[in-house]
Amino acid sequence: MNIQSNEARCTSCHAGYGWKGKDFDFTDPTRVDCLVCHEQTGTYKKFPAGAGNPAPETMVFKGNGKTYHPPEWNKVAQSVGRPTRRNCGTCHFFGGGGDGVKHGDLDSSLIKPNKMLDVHMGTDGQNFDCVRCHSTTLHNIAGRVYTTPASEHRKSLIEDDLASKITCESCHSSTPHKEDAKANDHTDKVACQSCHIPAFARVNPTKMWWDWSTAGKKKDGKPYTEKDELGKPKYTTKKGSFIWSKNVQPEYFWFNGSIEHMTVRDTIDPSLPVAINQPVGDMDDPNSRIFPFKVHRGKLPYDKVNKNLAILHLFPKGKEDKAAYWKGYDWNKAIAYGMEYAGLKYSGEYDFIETSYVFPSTHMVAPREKVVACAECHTRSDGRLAKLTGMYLPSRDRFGMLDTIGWVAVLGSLAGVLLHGLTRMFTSNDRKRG
Amino acid sequence: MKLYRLSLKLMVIVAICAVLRPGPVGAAETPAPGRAMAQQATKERPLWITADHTKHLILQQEFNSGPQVTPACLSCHSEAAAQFHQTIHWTWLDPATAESHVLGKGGLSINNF
Repeated sequence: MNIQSNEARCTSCHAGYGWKGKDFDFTDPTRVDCLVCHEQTGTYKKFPAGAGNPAPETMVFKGNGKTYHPPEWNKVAQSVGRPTRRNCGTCHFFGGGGDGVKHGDLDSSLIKPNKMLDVHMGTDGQNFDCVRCHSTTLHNIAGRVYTTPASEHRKSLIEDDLASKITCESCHSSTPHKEDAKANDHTDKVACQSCHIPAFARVNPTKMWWDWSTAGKKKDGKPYTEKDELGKPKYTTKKGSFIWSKNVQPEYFWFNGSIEHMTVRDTIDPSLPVAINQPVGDMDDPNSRIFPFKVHRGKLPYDKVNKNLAILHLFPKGKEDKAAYWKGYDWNKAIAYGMEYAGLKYSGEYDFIETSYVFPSTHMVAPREKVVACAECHTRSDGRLAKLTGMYLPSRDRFGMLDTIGWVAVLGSLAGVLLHGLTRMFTSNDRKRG
Repeated sequence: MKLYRLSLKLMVIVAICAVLRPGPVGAAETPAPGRAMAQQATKERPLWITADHTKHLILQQEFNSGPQVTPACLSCHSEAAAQFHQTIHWTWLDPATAESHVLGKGGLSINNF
């Protein structure tokens, strides 16, 4: 989805006040929300449909039935400090409309994790805050952004003590294991995360599939929700059907730190699933490593004639707004409104197409006892890296001729040794007598 | 026959050595260098904060909305808003291509959520 025409709902996660539509003044200093990142009472909440504002008076949000109170402004303002996991998590743990929907490696379980969930953030260990690694310069927070990698180099702080402390190598160096450990020979091809994050969503479930095409069904003329065995919604009239999973094994791709994203202006091939974004990398590129990802798949509406993904108008602009899908449940009207709002063409014909979206897994680093075992990749079939082809992976791949030559050499040597040994045994009596 | 016995003895010695070779169990005693380095780098630091915001008079006035609080913050942190306006957390646009208003949530990017 896209925020265009849905601002008031989406921007409840904007660190600002009042981004309701195109006329928002991005130059107004008073519109910056200092508190959401810096307040330390843990009580400051933005109203889900308030365009970034907290509730001005006690209000119920119809979307979740919860009551929202106005903040105690003085207490909140006087509590400010350095952002904690809870501050960042207010938005980043709940992206996509709920706890754990988006990332897989970021959800509310990281507010107070133990070391088993994240060896760095565990409250029974180092208790890292997000900003311990996501260091800042002039309010710019270090991290991967679209095509820009988190870090262009892999230097440790010993090599470059002013480098952004964002990679594992910054503190652990590129040969972190014991001197003779085979794992040190992996670091030029395999990212630390690939072995040290055996699975994501280890405490809370994450959404793996979202099919918008089934949305709109009603029971007795009313929207409804059905829950799955994990207690998560598997169907809602507003949003369609979902699959949630826990303890998910990542998918692995070559990754140089950059991710390519398509936009609604790009043409798609409707005969194939659409990769909305994908990791950039190649096994021949010295900056690429095998890296773990959550891949979220699902069906989205697209323009059948113009062959591009569609912007949906979901959230009503006001009481009279019947074009919004969450009011009128009419795809055509909702797409037509969304596309026009964004200044794009819409042919009037839509269908649904399968899509994928990747998230690199870099949080929820497990203690070393839980590291991925060698044989989970170095195995003949169904290993974690089974889909990464075009390279030689010992114990998975074999060259028939080389194997034959090897076995001929082994068996030949054995035969030679036996023959020689037996000859010596049977002829030894002759020698003694002689 | 002597040579045969000697080679047998040798094979047994080699086998015993192979079994007794220090393996991963021994590794637990001395930490891996990468681990030691990281622990060194993340030692607990003493508290460095020099301001108590509950004592600042400007934060003791009556506030009724967010945009009323922000000017109070900016009265000391004079550059904070101007800095923040330049970041992706404010623009929701890819900083590398922000001027084109295409890449980013605030532009024409899309996800499948």
